[in-house]
Amino acid sequence: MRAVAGENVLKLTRRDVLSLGFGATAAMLLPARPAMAMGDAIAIYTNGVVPQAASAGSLRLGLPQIIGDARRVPVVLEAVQARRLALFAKGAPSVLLADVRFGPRAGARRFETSVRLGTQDTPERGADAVQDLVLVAEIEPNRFVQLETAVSLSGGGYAN
Amino acid sequence: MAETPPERPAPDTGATALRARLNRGPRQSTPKVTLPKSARSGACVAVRAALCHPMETGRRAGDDGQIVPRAIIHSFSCLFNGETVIDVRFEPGVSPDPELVFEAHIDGAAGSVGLFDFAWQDDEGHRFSARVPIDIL
Repeated sequence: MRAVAGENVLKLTRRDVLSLGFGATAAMLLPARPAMAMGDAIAIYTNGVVPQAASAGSLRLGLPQIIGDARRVPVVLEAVQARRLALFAKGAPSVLLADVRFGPRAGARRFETSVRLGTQDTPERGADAVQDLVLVAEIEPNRFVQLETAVSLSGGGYAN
Repeated sequence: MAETPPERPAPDTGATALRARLNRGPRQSTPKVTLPKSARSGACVAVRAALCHPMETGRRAGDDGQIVPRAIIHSFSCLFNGETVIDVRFEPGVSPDPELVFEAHIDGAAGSVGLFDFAWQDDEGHRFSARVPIDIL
């Protein structure tokens, strides 16, 4: 399919129309709402700015040593300096878990809560499910840094 | 002697009904906030704010096999004397009965009382709030 420049005419052949139809059918057969890719979710969060890797010690993501129940995993998000913090989990149905904004009366840039870390993919037999986490911080207007961590899970997550 | 039946109270759709629905077992929908009674101006204090809430992800099948609709707390905010301490947007990835811990920077005249305002809002339109004073030394 090609629009001819200068002529303002969009030429559609019978073959084009048919292939469009097949494409639409294929799109309908795919799962209704595929999980958003982590990169896309982060890009939406940062407004398209690519986060740099955080320098050592500037960002911290605290996780328990052993995760027994993936539905309730205590996490500590910490940054030396940040206006906003967000935690993303690659295998979660909704990739962004929480978005924290610090206001003028905030103290240390530290936030604790608990999250669901279960994944949608079934791990291989005998292997633990692995969840990739990314902590993104806006340290200055439109300047983002990120920290990536992988955690292995031994309990179920979203299903319950 | 036939008497007209006593008038039935209108079904409660407000906080009482919500509390009854959320009160499964030990769950309560009243916010619980923990912070020091007093602090010096300029100090940072740890604040713990918890609210019992099922945080339904919208992906779980209930007892009847039907998908339970999404019903989560989608936002939380904490103000100190009207100024923002923290503002959080939750997604379904946050656990049920979320408990939050963060720090607030206390500022004000010595001898005055500072006010913390906490507010949670959920998908069903319920708003939970708490106001906690702190003595500024």
